Amino acid sequence: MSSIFALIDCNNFFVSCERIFRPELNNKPVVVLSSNDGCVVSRSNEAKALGIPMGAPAFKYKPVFKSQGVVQFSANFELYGDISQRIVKALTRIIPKIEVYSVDESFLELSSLGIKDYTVWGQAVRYSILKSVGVPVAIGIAPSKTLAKVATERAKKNPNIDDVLDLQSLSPEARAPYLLQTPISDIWGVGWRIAPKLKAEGIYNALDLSYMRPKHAQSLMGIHGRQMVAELNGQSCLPLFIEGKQRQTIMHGRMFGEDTSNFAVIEAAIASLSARAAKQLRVDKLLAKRAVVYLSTNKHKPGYRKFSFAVNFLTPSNDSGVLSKELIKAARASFSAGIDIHRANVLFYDLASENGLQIDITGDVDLSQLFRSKARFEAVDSINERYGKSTIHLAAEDLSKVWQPKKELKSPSYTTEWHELPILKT
Amino acid sequence: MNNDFQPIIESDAVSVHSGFPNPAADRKLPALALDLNQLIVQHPSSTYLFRIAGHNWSDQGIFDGDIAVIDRGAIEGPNDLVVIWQNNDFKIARSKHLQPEEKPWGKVSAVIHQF
Repeated sequence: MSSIFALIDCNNFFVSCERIFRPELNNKPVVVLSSNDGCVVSRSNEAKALGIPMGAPAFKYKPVFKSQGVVQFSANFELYGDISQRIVKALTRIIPKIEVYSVDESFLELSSLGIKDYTVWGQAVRYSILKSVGVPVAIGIAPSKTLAKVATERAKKNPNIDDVLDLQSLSPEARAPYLLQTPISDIWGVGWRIAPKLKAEGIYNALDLSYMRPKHAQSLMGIHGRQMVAELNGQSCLPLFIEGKQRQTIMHGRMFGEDTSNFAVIEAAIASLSARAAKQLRVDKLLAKRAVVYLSTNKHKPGYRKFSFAVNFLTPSNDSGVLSKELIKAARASFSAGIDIHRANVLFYDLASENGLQIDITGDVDLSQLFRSKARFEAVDSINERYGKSTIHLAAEDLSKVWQPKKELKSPSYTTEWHELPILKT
Repeated sequence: MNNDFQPIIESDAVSVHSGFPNPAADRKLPALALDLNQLIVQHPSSTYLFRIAGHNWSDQGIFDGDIAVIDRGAIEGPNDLVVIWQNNDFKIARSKHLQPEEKPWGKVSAVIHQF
């Protein structure tokens, strides 16, 4: 039996989460800013209509926010994470096997459900999530995941479609107008690298791409391109991905509250970012073999500069102490004083599974050190879990004001902290 | 599952097994103890907790500081208590007293009073 995919995609997810507990903000322009209020990461439809772009730097748009009465929130990731899990839980009651693709998107495979009318089914799911969790979703249904993604995009952008689009029941000819409306940059898997190449070939939308000869697509974009063309023609190449996929990279970054050239502050930032990345590695039972530190000045000020320092770890590690020490060493060696740093990122890559390490080792890995630090950090993580995130931290992790994210506009952790529950007046 | 051959001595610590095996030691069995969530939270994905503020419903057994368990997914009957959004506040109300245009945010499924 051939597959039938549904993509459930939350509309303006972060904004929608905020609106659950602030119903008066329905129909008002609302934006959510990244965790230190740097740029816009989610916009309500009303905010989009005001011409506020995704990623807009908040300081540039403050006048617009003020004159148009745009309500701003700092990102409340505890809330968004919880709401995301609620939606996943609700969807797994429809069908247990789902692919959680991102915080606000999940794929379902429907062929076993014997659904007669996919639009009716989609509307029922949409209503149920809106009523029970409180978040509006768009749903696209199609014979491949790439087409389901196209359907969801069209359902969201086309005002004549009521948030649910069934491409499954349509003939290829009837699907064509929707593909025509989808610019190539909106197609799943077409990145900013490939898009110009395709445009150079005269391919501007999903319909053009679906007509591409598979061989030509492969020569241009590899096997991935060939699959994309097949998927747009309704042949499923990408199955539902149920098993947790091993992450390839871990990236953490923050903007400084104020630009700084003080290496002690930068060092503290690197330590703190490494500690968070290391925690994530330990949770996922992974070890990092390589890392890069990126430091950059303010993009919006003249003389924008970027620096990066690469590190190879002799012994793959998820030990905050080891990771941050090496990164700080590399940064200190090449950092030139007197430059105001705006942002720091750390990227860990070439990740190996803790369990797979025995196979990977080449003889220069000190296993006893590895297991000692593993035991130590399991203790640290469990204490931090119980008593709050930074009860125990490395000495270099600085908690000074400069470094703390600005969270002036953050909503309460309504669903994740006992002392921040929403108030019900009598 | 094979419980017939239980180890007499484990490698890292001495542990002698005898008598009736403890069924609760097998992690595959569901928990035996009663779970308050099972009683109070019928639909975890649609249940939200609120803190009661104010004394106006004390005669109904709802006190300041109590925790209200709200199910957004439940269908309310006329005598049920509901949460409504009114003048920028969440308020508690009896379903049958709502105006037709007032749509409840959720149904009060329980109120927890801790001493």
